[in-house]
Order: sequence, then C-alpha cells, then structure tokens
Amino acid sequence: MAAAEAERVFSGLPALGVGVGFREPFRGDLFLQRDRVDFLEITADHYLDAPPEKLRELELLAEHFTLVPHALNLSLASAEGLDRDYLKKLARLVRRLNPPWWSDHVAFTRAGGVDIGHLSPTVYSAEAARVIARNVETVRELIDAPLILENITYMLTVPGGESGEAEFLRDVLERTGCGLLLDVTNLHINSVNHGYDWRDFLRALPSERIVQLHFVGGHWHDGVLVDSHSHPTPEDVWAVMDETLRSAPVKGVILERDENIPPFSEILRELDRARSLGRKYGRWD
Amino acid sequence: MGLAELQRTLARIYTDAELRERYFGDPLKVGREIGLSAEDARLLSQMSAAQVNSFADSLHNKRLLGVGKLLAMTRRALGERFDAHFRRYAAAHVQGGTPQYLDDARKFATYLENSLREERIGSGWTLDLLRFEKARVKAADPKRRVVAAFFRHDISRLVRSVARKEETPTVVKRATLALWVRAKRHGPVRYSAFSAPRLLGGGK
Repeated sequence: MAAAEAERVFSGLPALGVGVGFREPFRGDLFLQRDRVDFLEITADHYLDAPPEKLRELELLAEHFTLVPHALNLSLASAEGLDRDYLKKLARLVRRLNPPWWSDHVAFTRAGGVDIGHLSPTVYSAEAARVIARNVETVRELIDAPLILENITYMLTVPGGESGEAEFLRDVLERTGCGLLLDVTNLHINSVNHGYDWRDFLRALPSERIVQLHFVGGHWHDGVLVDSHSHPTPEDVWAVMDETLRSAPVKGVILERDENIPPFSEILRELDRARSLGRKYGRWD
Repeated sequence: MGLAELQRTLARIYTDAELRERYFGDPLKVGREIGLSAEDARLLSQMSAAQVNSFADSLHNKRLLGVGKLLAMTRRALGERFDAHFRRYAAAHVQGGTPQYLDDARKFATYLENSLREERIGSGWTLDLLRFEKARVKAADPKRRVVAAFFRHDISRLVRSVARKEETPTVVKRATLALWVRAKRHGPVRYSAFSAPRLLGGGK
C-alpha cells in the first residue's frame, strides 16, 4: 500500500475511544456498565474453532459493542510463510465482525514445525522486514479490513540485526502500509529492561501510523520487568500514554488486564483516566 | 544465515531444555552439531544465555498458567507439588515445541495421575478431583460426543465444595459415574452424575 493511500486510510478511521480486552470473568459487569466502555478488543484465537456457546457469546458482544479482533498466531515474521488454515479461519471471523481495524504482532510464533507457544522477536533486518511485508500481502488476499501491527516485549536481542527496534518498526510499517498498535506498556518495559529512553523510541516512530494503544501493569521478577498483564497501570506507563496521545492521532485505547483481575470498578477507573487523557488532546469526545 | 534457518534454530533452542543447556555449554560445537555453519554458529553464540533462559522460563510459566487454569482445583489442592510435577513433565522434550493448551492439560493430567499413584501422594479424593478436571478438559473438545469417568467419591459434592474454596472439602465415599454428552458435534455439553444408590436403583 502506498504511503499516501495508507495515510488516507488511517486518518479516515473512526475514533473509538477507550475500551478493554474482553475477559469472561467480568462479562456480567461489562454489560451492566456498557455505557462506560467505548469498544472491546476480542482475542481472535478464542473464536476460530469455538463451540456454539462461545459463538453465541461473540454475537451478544457484537450486538452491544464495536469489536476489534486481536490475533495471536499469524506469526507475521515467519520466514516460512503463514499457516493458511489459520489465516482462512481468521478471515472468516474478521468478515463476520466487519471491524474498523484488526491486529496481530511483529513476531513469529513457530518455525520448522515447532510451535514456540509465545511471541518471539525477529531479527531487526531488511530481510525480516521484507518477510513481514510478503506475509501481509498474503493476508490482504483474504482480509480487506485495515491491519495494525503490535510491538512486543523481548527478553533477548536476536543477533544479526541491522537497526534498532524503532527503526525496524518504521521500515515494516512503510513496507506493509499497516498501522501501528503501540503497546505503551511493552515500550516502557523494553526501555527499562534494555536501558533506553522511550521518548527517543517514540520520536523515531511514524506517529501518523499509531492507530491504537494497549496499556496495563506488569511486575518485577528476578530483576526483570515482565509484561504479565496482571497489575494496575503504573505511573510510568501513564506518562508514556500521555505523550503518545499528545503526539499521535490515536483512535482507540485498550486496557489489557488478563490476570489477577480486580473488581470491575477498578478497571473502569483506569478507562476513565485514559479517556480523560485522550479528551485533553482532542482524540475523542 | 538465512532468516528461515535462524528462526528454526531459535525455535529449537527456546523449547528444548536439554538442547539449550548443551548449546550454551559449547555454542560453537553444538551449533555445528545441529547443522549450522561455523560462521552462523559464531553469530548465534552472541546470544545471552541468561536472556534466552529467561525467555524459555517465560514460555514454561505461560504453559503452567494455561494448564493451571484448566486444572485449577487440582492445583489448589496440591499447591506447590502441582508446580513441581509440571516442571518435571515440561522438561521432557516435546516434539513440535509447545503443545496446544488443551492438549497440554490433558497430557499433564495423565502424567500427574500416574505420578500421584506411584508416589501415593494425595489422598483418593485428590485423584478423583484431578480425574474430574481431566475428563472435563477432554469433553471441551468440540469433536468429542461422550466422555465418561468413574469416581470413588461423590464427585459433584466434592467439586462444588472445592470450587467454593471451602476450608474442608466435602469428601463422601460413594461410587459415582459422571458423563459429559454432546448431542451433536460442536453442540453444547450436558453434564450428569449418578451416584451408587441411584446406579443400583437403576433410576435417575
């Protein structure tokens, strides 16, 4: 996708506001308080081979919320190409939901018949960026909806890189024409664990491509900050979000609380704070 | 090194604990053993063992989290012994890398059942709890139509009390047959349990 076309697509996306990653434990509270949640992100993989009760749940959610699917296993950085069966199922889900955008990660999850079981960083090289671009073209054969790509946390730097992560992401976005799902928690965690200033990273990104944010709190383990999605959002991450919302035309923000889920009122307080931040910078009403 | 080969090598090192230990013991030698050129083996030897092991630990913890959710009551009943058994189970090299979480839970439940029987650790009701959760995991497969399991205890009362986190689980010795039935493929599951007097009586 040419740069001008990409800019047209992303600037025309609706401003969704602030929402939460859907999790079953707070399903009841979610419907009772749906006027305080602007949209939902659903984990696409939970609905690809789902039993009837999960599909009914999806229909019910879709009746009341705008749903943005977030996939986990496209393995867009895989040099071996994509799992076509997975892609077809994902395409069916995205067509069914007709979302304003959908997302997956700049990562690989399998290689050589081995399923790693988690998002793994790729090498930051021109070859790796070309691989991602090729895989995104394959995706576009089946899925029209705009795709945005998420930055991941990484514990190791794969040797053989030609640039830093921010420059690599810029290259990937330019080659693919995709938007960016900037996980501000992941950015903060990587900056702490790998000793760099997140402001420099943010400045190196094409801000006009930042469509959506993720945020949540992690925890320390053996001297390393872990993206466990298990704690309230710390002030350091709020600072990253504030600066990102100031400088980028973000359309939506999602709280990704997966573990140690608190009372829903606590989740709503975080959503309200994110919403106020976005309003301060005119990102949504 | 081509990107595909790099990713294949990384995937093996991340998921195979034995290979990882040997690799970081002598990266150049083991790198050559697994088919890397001398140049590629030198390139990969730049990886930090601490960082790779940290990532591998995170993969393990993710598996444990997923399996622990599916066998939650057993994990609560066994406490740290559950995690210790899982570490031993997960250390075995799994062909194909990390199993899918339902498959992982089912295989671990079988491993744990065998281990507990051998060690005679966990009273009979703990085993029944584990076998209940294992059967429930099997029944979650939308392609399975019927799952049946036999218990030495009134499993419904036991499960209810454990699920409610009661201080003392309700343990009643009563032969019980539990069924999970899916009337049609990909349809909803119905669970029923029949305890000994009812079985003998032949009625519902």
